[in-house]
Amino acid sequence: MDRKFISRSEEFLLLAVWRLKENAYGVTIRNQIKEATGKTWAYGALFVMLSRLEKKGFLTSHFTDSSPQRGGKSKRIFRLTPQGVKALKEVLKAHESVWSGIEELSVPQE
Amino acid sequence: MKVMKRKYRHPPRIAGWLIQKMFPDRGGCSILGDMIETYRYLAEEKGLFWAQIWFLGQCVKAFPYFLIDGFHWRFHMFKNYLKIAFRIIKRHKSHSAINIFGLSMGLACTILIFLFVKDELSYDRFHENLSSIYRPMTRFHNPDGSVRWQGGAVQVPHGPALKEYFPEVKRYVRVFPRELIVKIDDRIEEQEIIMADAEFFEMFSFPLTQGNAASVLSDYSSIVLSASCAKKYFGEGNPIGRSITLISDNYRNDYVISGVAEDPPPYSTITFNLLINFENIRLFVGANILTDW
Repeated sequence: MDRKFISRSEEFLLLAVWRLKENAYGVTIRNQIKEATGKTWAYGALFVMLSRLEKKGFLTSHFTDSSPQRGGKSKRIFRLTPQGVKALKEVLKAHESVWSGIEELSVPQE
Repeated sequence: MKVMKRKYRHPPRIAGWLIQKMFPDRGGCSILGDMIETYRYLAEEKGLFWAQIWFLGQCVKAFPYFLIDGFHWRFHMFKNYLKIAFRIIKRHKSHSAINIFGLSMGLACTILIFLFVKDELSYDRFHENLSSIYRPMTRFHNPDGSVRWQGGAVQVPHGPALKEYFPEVKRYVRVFPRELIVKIDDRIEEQEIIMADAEFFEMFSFPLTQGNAASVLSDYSSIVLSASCAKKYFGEGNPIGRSITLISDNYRNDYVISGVAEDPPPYSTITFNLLINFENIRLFVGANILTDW
């Protein structure tokens, strides 16, 4: 079936998780996105997006032991699934084809 | 590392509790952990005050996402239910057809009954004095007590008699219809005329566009038209003061238009086009009807 492409923010999230490898949890993902795009996300938004991606099957997660540094709360470590990787590759391919041949973006001349 | 006072080690508790409630996160509450971690970092970097502000801000920002997320999943579940229902219908075609047919018949009947009852109950509700208006009716009984005949009319003398013998009866209005020939200028038509007591417009809520409710029918030779009737005979012109002749088999009389009433609403038991004073019943029906029981 022809699935929809993942959205831009989903793409950012998945890439951040992929880059962070084994250390992808709320704080690091948020920092990674801030570093890459300059945008600061609210934790609420981040959490909602991540849980949605997990439901769609692009991410899996597990909880670590709690640490006193986090007020006794555990970390939820996210990992990319093969499906997530596939979705990213599809987006990349689409990006490459729609951007192909554009050397420099400028206002079209009449 | 600065040493923090113990009470500042934790971010605002109510805010934290809210976050925990909004995003249960399978009991793990990793989001709250993430926020506490960032809070501690901020507290060291920029000071406790800013960290607390940040934490509260995050809480407020999280709220719309909490709402949106709830709707999102509910919507998805609903879509799923619809899909399942559709598949079941497809799988059990005849059974579903019987079910759906039965349900729709039931619904249709209910709605029709509801509409019918609503229609019936809406009659005559517009009268302002509704709670104190009563209509006497006639019921004839057989010797064994069963009802032989009943109807919505009583004899003419009932009106004055009821008022005389029952102190709780404040006023009465008798309404008597009769088909008469109406002659206006050169137009001659047969129309139903309503003969009504002078207090007709005070007792019932039929608003007058022209004329005074208290006096419009008090003169025996005055006549009141409904708005559509006035328009039919006089167009846009002013009908007040114009004369109309009413003709019966053996009598004719001239009337002067004293008022125009709005058309009675469709849900009215009493409908009228032309109204004259009840005393005219002497001319068109006969004086003995006033005393005939």
